[in-house]
Amino acid sequence: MSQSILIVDDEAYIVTSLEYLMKSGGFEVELAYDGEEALAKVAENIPDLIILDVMMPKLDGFEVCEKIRANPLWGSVRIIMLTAKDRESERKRGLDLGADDYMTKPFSTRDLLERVKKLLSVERIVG
Amino acid sequence: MNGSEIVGGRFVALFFLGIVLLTPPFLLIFDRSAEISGIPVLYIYLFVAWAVLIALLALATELPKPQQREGEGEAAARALGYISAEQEKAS
Amino acid sequence: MLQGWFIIAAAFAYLCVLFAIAYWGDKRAAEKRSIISNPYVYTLSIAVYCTSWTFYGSVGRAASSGVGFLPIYLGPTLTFILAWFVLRKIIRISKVNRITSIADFIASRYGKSSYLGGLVTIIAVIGIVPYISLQLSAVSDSFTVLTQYPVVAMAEKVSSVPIFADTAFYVSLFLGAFAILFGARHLDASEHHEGMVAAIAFESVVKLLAFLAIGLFVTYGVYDGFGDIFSRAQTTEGLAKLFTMEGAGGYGSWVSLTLLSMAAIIFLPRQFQMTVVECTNERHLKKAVWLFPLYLFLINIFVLPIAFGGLLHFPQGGVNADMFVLTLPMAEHQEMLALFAFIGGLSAATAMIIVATVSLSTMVSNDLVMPVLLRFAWLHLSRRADLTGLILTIRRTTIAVVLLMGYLYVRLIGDSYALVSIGLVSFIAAAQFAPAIIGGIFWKGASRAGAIAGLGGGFVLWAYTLLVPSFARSGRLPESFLLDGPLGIGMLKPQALFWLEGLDPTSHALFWTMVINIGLFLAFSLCSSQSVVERSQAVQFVDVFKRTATGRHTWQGRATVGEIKQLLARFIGRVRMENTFSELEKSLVQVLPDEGVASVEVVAFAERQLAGTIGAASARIMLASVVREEMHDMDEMLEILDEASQVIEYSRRLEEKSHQLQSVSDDLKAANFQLKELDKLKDEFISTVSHELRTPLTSIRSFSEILHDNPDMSEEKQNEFVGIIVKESERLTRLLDNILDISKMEAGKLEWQLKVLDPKEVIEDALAATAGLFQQGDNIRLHTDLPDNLPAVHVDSDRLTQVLVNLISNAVKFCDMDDGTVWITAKAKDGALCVSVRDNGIGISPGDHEKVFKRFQQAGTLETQKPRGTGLGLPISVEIIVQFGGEIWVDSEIGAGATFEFCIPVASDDGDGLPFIKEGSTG
Repeated sequence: MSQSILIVDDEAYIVTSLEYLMKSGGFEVELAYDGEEALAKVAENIPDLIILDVMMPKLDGFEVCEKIRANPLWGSVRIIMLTAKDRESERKRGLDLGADDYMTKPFSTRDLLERVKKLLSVERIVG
Repeated sequence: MNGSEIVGGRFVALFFLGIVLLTPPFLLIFDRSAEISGIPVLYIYLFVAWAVLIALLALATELPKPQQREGEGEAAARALGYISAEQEKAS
Repeated sequence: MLQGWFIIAAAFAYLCVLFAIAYWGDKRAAEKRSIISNPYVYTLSIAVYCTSWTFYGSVGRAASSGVGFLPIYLGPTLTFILAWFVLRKIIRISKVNRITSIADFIASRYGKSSYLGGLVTIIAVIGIVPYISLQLSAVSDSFTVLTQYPVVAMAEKVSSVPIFADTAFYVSLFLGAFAILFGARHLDASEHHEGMVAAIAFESVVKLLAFLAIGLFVTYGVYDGFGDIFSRAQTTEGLAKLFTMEGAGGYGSWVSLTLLSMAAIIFLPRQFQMTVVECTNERHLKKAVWLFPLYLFLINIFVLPIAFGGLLHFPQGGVNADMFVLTLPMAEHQEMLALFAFIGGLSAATAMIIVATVSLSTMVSNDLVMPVLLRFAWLHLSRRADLTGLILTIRRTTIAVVLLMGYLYVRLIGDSYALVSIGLVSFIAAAQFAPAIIGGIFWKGASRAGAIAGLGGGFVLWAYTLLVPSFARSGRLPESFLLDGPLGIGMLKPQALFWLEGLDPTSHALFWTMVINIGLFLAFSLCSSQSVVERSQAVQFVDVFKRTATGRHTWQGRATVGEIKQLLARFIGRVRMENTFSELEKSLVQVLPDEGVASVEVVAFAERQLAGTIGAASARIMLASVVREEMHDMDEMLEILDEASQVIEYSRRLEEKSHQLQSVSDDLKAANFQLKELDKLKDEFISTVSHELRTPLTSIRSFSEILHDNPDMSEEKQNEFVGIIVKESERLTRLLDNILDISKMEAGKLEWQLKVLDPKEVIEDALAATAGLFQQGDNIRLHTDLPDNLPAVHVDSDRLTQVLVNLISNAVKFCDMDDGTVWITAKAKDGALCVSVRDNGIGISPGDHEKVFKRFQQAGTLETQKPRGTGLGLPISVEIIVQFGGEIWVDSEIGAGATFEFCIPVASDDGDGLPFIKEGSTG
């Protein structure tokens, strides 16, 4: 069974591009366009990895990340934060909140795909 | 030199003008037995000199303090015709 | 008609008018609506310089010496040219130090010396007595002459009639009472007499008008103009010599009179009173500098014609030339004009007497009598609650005594001198103050010893060379005293001292008094050392224009708190004292034990409390009395207290300064806060812009890489992705344009091509540009309501189009997806053109109305496939509309669509010059 990825971004075009990218990498893909929807999707079906945008209406990426990490049931979910914010403090905040990786938009698609594969190749150690 | 120093300078200059006009030896020039339309020249001279002095004093106090701005002097000189159009072209 | 009672009634009526003016002036001053606080009244008050000496005496002197009277008026003109340097400084010093008289000024400059104050007062009183006597005799003579109308006859020799039949005696009594009522009716702590100043200014107008009236009458009524009078004089034997300097007494006299009057215009006590003490605003001096010389000029124009007119009219003599002003109209049977002349002379005399006696009485009470009385402990003066009664008594007595002395001088000396000569005696006395004052304000080295020596020496010589001869010439001293010198010692002849002969008495006296005065002043100043108080006063006076609080030693508290408390309790009651002291302790945040030394604050506090009850002057004296027991020397005490008040003054200024600093620092804090806010906004803006730019860039890069890495992609997908890249590129371009626009607008660098336009054309342009939006989906309808006669507006066509395109594309974006309708309406409303763009979409909640106009803020979420906004369209529209002088707003509710509307002012007829247009060209 192929691993599943949840793509969360409020920018429809970015979601479209990530969807195509991940599908072409052989993953199952779920989509969400804001933070609340993302949490609903996670509750419905725990993905192996979430590509999470930060700046979103309703719940932002940091809050989503925090909520996921707060639930021990979801401990295995890897999270890659994807954001247009490139300040070091933002990056640190994301990693502190439990994100496994942090990428700045615009990103290299190959790089992203590699990181996704690398993260999914090992079991996440819940700490 | 700032504006108030210039005003102060005006008074010093006027004071010396007053001393010259109203005391001998300048006064000697008019101290003679001569009349203009029947009035002795000394009388006419003293009152005219006095009036001129007061008028200049009024000007010195009432004229605005000169502002030193670049180019202003030049503009004034041009207005007075001291710098001709040709000179301007040449420079 | 012109009987004694009528003249007295007229004079009395005139004086009543003066009272009314003074009363009014005082009343307005109390209401803080001063009538004298302007340069014109100030100038007229300085014209107290022109006394009856000018009014009657100038003509008299002109009749005997031609232009010889003129230096008395040319001198002040020269002094006033230098007023900017000298008078301005004296006035500033006096205001800073609250100087009340010329004695106060000199005493204060030389270390607050009470000896010096007393000496100056004595010189002033004795020196001014002849001048006052001159006024008395002028008034009584003019009265006597006028009562004999129509007969032109001179008054009898004063000394030959018994006192009780002597007009001058009654005139003295009357003027004395008048001066007391005027100047010493009540005590004014500030020593300002606004009512008096107003009355004096009025008198200056009266005497000028009277003199001009006589002058015009004589010159053009009696004779045929200036030329006529002088031509006739030319042909009259003995008069032509008056046409040259020779007749004027020669050049020596000319120069010495000029110098003398240059000093007199400042240093005569009454001139000091008017020019310096009563000066309400230093800036008034600026106009007075030329207005006062002008006044002198005007009052002198007709002196020569009247003098020659009189000489021609009374060729046989027997008529005192000093009375020509009065006798000429009398001889011509112009009784009303003669009365006017009398009133003019009266106004000149009363003005002088009032101001002179008021200034002398202030000096006598403040600088002579009070300091002496306060030395006598047995009087227990310092324990009396209120000294105002005493001070008023001193002042009234002074006025009476001074007038009495004036009268005695008239009786003893009066007839043997012409008016002008008597006046000059006083002038030279006043000139004695010149070295001490001029030296004192420009030379820090001038010392008290120098001032005392100079003034004393000058005064003694003045008395010897001028006063003594006046007694000798009137026969009160043996004639030989003058001719051979005292005890026959020729070297000591009063009018040829040290064998100096060939000078007129005035020049002779001026020379010797000044040589001695200046010589001693310099010598003693150079050889003596200054006390600390003296030194600090010297610095304060000389450096008045760059004064700082440095160089003052602080007051050393020597009284105990308990003593101060006791004193306060005596005047304000124990309960109130305890209350106020506990408040003081609170404000000082310290306990004040009774046996502790009273600090500067405590003394100042006590002084303020006392001043509120018994007045500032008495408060200081009272306070001095408490600490005096600790003191060996009264003077030291007074000095220290004076300095305490200086310290208060400084601390008040410091307080002011610190308030200013506080407010400046508050301003800085606010500015800093604003800057921080702006910085934060700028940061946020940059961060947001960066985010907004990265978003389309991300899509573009992702799709490009996907297309690049997947060459085998279906053509359909390829087209879709390339389409997205194109759209996102367009969005990026738009965003960049908008960001550039808004930053240019903010920096004011955007060029506005403002023209008067028909708005309909602009709207149609915008519709053409957005036509594509309506064709795309057939489900959006457009309704327009654009009347033909819309008013022209003064706008930049491209920018207005930009606003309209923004609004229209927003409306298309947000209108109902299935059945969209957009309405565009334009109409004229209240001098403005209003355009509204309405859609039938989801609407904007009222809470978001403001938000939509902010940058990168969009209401609600957008999950449509329509092109996204940049988040800058509406903010840019706001900037543009504001630039056009209009406003833009939104009217909407959730579910009820949204109406964006803007109004811009209609162009004025000429199309430009509209106030709201900052820049741009119409060409």
